[in-house]
Amino acid sequence: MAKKKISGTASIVGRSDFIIDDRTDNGLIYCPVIDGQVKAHGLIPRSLSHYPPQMFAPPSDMQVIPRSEWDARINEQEERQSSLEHIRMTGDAGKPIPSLDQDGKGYCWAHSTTSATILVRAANNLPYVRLSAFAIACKIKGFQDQGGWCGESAKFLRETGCPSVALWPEKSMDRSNDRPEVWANAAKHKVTEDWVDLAQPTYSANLTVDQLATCLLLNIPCAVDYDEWGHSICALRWMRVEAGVYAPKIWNSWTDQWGDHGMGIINKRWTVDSAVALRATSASII
Amino acid sequence: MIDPTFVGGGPSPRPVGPAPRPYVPASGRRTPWTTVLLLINTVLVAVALGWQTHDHWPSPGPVPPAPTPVPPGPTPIPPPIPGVGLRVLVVYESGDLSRLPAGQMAALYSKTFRDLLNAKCAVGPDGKTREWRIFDADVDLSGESDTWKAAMSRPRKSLPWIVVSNGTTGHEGPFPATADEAVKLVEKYAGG
Repeated sequence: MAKKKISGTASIVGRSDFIIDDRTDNGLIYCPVIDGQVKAHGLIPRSLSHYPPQMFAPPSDMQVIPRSEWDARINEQEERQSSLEHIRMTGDAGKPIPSLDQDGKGYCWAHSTTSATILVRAANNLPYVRLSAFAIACKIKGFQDQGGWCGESAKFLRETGCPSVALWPEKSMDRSNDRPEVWANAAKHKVTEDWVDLAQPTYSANLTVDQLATCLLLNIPCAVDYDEWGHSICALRWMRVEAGVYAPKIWNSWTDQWGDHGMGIINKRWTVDSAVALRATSASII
Repeated sequence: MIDPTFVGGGPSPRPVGPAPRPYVPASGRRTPWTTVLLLINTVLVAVALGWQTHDHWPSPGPVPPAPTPVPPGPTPIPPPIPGVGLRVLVVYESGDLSRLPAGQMAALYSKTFRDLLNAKCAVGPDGKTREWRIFDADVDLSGESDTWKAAMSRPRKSLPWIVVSNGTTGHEGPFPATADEAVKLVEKYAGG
C-alpha cells in the first residue's frame, strides 16, 4: 500500500469504519444477532469493597502524552501504518488475526484482556497463538456463566496465563479441559508488565481519557469496561473522528462479522469505568 | 669326447684385481680444482663484505618504495545472533515509550519496517513466523527459542536498542531515530 502523507487535524475515519454514536442502531450495540446467535456482554461493574483500589498499583510511572501532541502522533501512526490496528490486520503471517467469539456467554471481561494479550504478542512478532478466554472465565467463575470485570481476568493472566485454544477449545465449558498440561501451556502466555486501574478514583475522568489515549498512541492495548454499555472490550487505537474530537477504536469479541472486521469506534460520551493496559507478555513460540 | 681331467662344473673363478676404494661421501670428494674454486669463492665473498662495510660497493639503483600499508577497515563483527539468515531484534522499555520522539516510536512499528523484516528475515521454527522480535527489556523468555534467549542476553548500552545479524556479520547499537533510517540499516545487512 502506498504511503500517504497525513497532516492537519482532519478525520482519519475511513469509509469502512463502524462508528458507535448516538445515531447507531441499539440493536447493533446491545443485542446483536450474528449467525443466528445473540451475542452477550457480561460486564459486572467492579465492586470496590471486593476489589479495592489497593489491589493494584496505580500507573504512577506513566508519562502522559500531552494533548497538544495527539494530532501529530495520530498522523504519524496513520502515515506509517504503525498502529495496533494495522498490526492486527497482518498479524497472522500477513493475514488478519480473527476476532475472538464469546458466543452467548457473559465472558466479555475475559475476552477483552485475552484480545489485548494476543495484540501484544503480534506487536512483538511472536507466533500467532489463539488464546482461550473461556479457560480464564471458567476457572475464575467455577464453570458458571457469570459476568465480571477486566481486572479479574488481568490478575489471572498475570498469575496463571492463558492456554491456547488447541488445549482448551474456544467456547468450551467442559471441565475435562482443566488439566495440568493446559495450565503449563497457559504459563507461556502470561502478562508480565501492565498498568492497571487506569480509572482509579484518585484520577480525574479527564486523566483517565488521557491515560487511555497515551497507551493507544504507544501501541499498548487496553481492556476497557464501559458500565453504560455493560460490556468489556479491547481498545487498540486512538482515533481522530473530526478536528478536536477523539475516540478509541475497539476490538470486540463478537466475531469478525460485527462492525468492521470485529472493530468499531466508540464516539459516545461513555465513561471508562475500569481499564487495564497490558504492556508485555511472556515470550513463547507456542 | 669327454675330457677326463675336468672334475667340476660352473663358472670359472673370477680373476682377482686390486681392492676397491672405500666409499667417500660427495662432500668429502675434493679434487684439486674443487679446492681452488673454494678458495677463490671465499676470497670473493670476503672482499665483497669488505666493500659493503666501507660503502664502496656500487649503488644498486633506486630502491623501490615499500608498498603503503592499507589501513584496516572496521573489523566485521561476528554475527551477534546465532543461525543462518537475517535476524533482527529490537529491545525497548515499555514503561518509557512516551519518552521516545514520535518519529522513533512510529519507526518501531512502521509498516515499511515490518514489511522489510517479513520479506528478508529467515523463517522461524514454526515454518511461517519470520525471525524478528520487538521485546520489552524485561520480557520473560522461558518459553522462547534459544536463538532469542541468546540475542537478549547480549549487552546493551541504551534503549531502544537494535541487533541485526545476517549469519556472517551484524550490527548492534541504538535504534535509529526514524523509520527510513531503520530500513536503511536493515537493508545494509539484508543483501539482495
